[in-house]
Amino acid sequence: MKYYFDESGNWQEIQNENRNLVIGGVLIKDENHHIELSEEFKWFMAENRLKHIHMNELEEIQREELLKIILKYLKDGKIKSLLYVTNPKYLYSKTTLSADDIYIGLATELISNIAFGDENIEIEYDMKFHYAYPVNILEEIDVKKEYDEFTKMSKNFVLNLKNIEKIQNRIKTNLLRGRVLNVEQYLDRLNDKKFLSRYLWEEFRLKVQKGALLREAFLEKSKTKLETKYKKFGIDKDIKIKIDYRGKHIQSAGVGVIDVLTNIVRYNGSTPKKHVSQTTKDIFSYIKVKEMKND
Amino acid sequence: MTKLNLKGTTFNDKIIYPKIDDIHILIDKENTILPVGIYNELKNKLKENLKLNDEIEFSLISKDLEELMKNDVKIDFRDSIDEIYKVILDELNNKTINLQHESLKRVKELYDNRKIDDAIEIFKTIEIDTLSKFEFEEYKLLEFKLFDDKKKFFDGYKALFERNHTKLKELYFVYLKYLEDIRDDKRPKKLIENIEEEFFNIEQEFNRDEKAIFYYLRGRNFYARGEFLDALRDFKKSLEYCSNEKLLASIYNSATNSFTDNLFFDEAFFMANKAFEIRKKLKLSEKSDSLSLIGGIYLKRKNFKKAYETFKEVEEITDKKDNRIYNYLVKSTIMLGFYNKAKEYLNIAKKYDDRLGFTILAEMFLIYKTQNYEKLFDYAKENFLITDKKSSFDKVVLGWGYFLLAQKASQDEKYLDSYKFLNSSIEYFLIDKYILEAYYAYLKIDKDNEYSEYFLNINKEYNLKGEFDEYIKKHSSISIEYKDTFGFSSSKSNNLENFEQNLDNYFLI
Repeated sequence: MKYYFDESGNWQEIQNENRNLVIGGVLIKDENHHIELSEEFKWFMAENRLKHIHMNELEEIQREELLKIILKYLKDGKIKSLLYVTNPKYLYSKTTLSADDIYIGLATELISNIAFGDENIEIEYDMKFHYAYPVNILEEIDVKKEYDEFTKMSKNFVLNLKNIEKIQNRIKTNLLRGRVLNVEQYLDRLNDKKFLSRYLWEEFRLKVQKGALLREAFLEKSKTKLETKYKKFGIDKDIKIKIDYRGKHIQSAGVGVIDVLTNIVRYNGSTPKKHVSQTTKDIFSYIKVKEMKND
Repeated sequence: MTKLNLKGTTFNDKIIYPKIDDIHILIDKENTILPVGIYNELKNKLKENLKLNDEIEFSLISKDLEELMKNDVKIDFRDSIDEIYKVILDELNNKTINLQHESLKRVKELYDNRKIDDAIEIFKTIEIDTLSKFEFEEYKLLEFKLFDDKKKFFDGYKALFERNHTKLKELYFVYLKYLEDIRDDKRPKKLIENIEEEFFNIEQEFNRDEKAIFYYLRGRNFYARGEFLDALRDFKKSLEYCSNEKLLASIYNSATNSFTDNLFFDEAFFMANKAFEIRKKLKLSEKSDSLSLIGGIYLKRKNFKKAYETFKEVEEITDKKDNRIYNYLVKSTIMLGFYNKAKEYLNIAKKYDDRLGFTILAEMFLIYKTQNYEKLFDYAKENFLITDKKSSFDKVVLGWGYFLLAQKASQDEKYLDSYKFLNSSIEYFLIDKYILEAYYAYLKIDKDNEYSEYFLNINKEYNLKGEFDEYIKKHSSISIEYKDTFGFSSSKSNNLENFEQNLDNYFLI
């Protein structure tokens, strides 16, 4: 069976997030339904001259039209959705884990709930593993690296001085927000172009290399969680999980739906607000939203 | 503490049979887990059967069960009511089944944990004479569960394998052929993979005849999924072991389409003709299938008159009662411009089952040729676009059906409709790896309209050109590669290199 996952909110910097964090999945049992839905999404995009469907970028009337399409599929039982919503402050106060670890924990829990009972699990995920947090970057910055493609490319890298102020500001903000010890010494070094270059390269290296590792770990953890559940309940299944990581630029209809649903849950929480449209309210009666607060 | 076997439905609507082994029954405690109706029914049953004066209050406690329910599993308590009742009764009487026989006890445990292989291993060592009367009953029950549990196909086969290896092989082929005949495109592949992994080492355990049949059937399965190269590789292997002419004809017959679909028409004609000649010589009724293949090659070559004549001949000699030949006759008469004749054949085709949708496609083609977009769309709305019907349709039917809609919509300047249907057409073609057809559909449709940006993006989105180039690279050499295997003279090239320039030469629509 095919499953589509997405998130909403700043999962990478939980400490700086004030609104709800949401993670959700949609399942579409019949591939014909997915193709029908794709048809409707493509029509919607072409009719509205859109390149992608990003809930935040749509006009009110377009949003309503899109929500009606999704509601129709939910009502007909062609798609089902399960979402977790949580308050970032709650999450952050309860754990010493990194944001990636928290995210992976919740996402794999969600997968193991929504896909429980299945053995051939195909997942499309619009996921943004980060890992390149200031603390991690600073840890790596002075470590001598093997001469690899990254080092080779970094030798030819020239810092674009036009943007230097913008870069300095971005890194400064990240450092200040990033629980960095003795942050002052690093703030001083931001005027050093060599340090700045090293910082940018380490950030890039971590994004690429650790991103790949996190993806592997994510797949493994999802599988293990399901296997443990099956074992616990004496269910004999040989699980196969395939995860296809997709960005919104190559958005499938399934990921499109869950992008919309995570957005409305982020705004509303686990129940719809009073002033939202009837379509939004109706959508809430067909999706399952769990508030993560007591675990 | 007692075990309980339950039935449940997961969030994704899968049925599961979880085993809960931390069930406790607390007397005089308030019920929190069981639905009220079930709870009351159990209470009444207890009162009646235990001849109690008052109703008994009890609570079923289980962390695992709670966890399942928290995981959005809907437990079918109704299905398990007798088992729950037994658990409560056991708890009340403080009585559990006490098997004295150690091996039997172990088998039961292993079976409960779904370790079927291990259970069978120990089960086989039990001597019936050592069992008490009660244990013998348990023994028979376990035997039934271990060997005749049809709930899971593989468990059944595993058990059978332990008992009768030859029988397993026999059944395996029958089952594979059965699944192939009903065109279940998922199970045979899984079955082949699992059989190879779990039961047989094909090269070592199959004799020459079995290998010939195995590779032939596997080749057909590969072909059904559009994996022509794998199919041909297996047909070649099958030929190496083949020692009877009937199978030889089947191999040639099945391998024909790998050449027809890749537009190697001379090679395909040679193959189909050879199959036809053998079947004719052996007086096999399947000769009509081979003749039908020849008709199909004429159709693809756009020799419609010859195609029609061949299909008429098939109609005369075939003893098959299905719609296939009439669908072909519809197609060839449409291409000859005899639309009334096409309607006649269509009416005959409609008398037969059309689970795969080929007759519906033929009718859509006729409407496409003779009427406007509105009529085609109305027909499609009734017969083609309905999900329940569509789910059994062959992917190639869906691919072409949507393409007909896309083309007609475009001719009627309904470009948004055209764009939407073209996407679906390509999606369905690609599912079964009809790369040529998908790329053709994209190239053929009119993209020079107000939505051209969206139409042009389809190529990028599905990487059609990339898929096409890779396909050509892989498939353009099959004629040379297999000329010695099948004995034809290679035409070396199928002109697919000029595909983009000579689109009208390739397909009928």
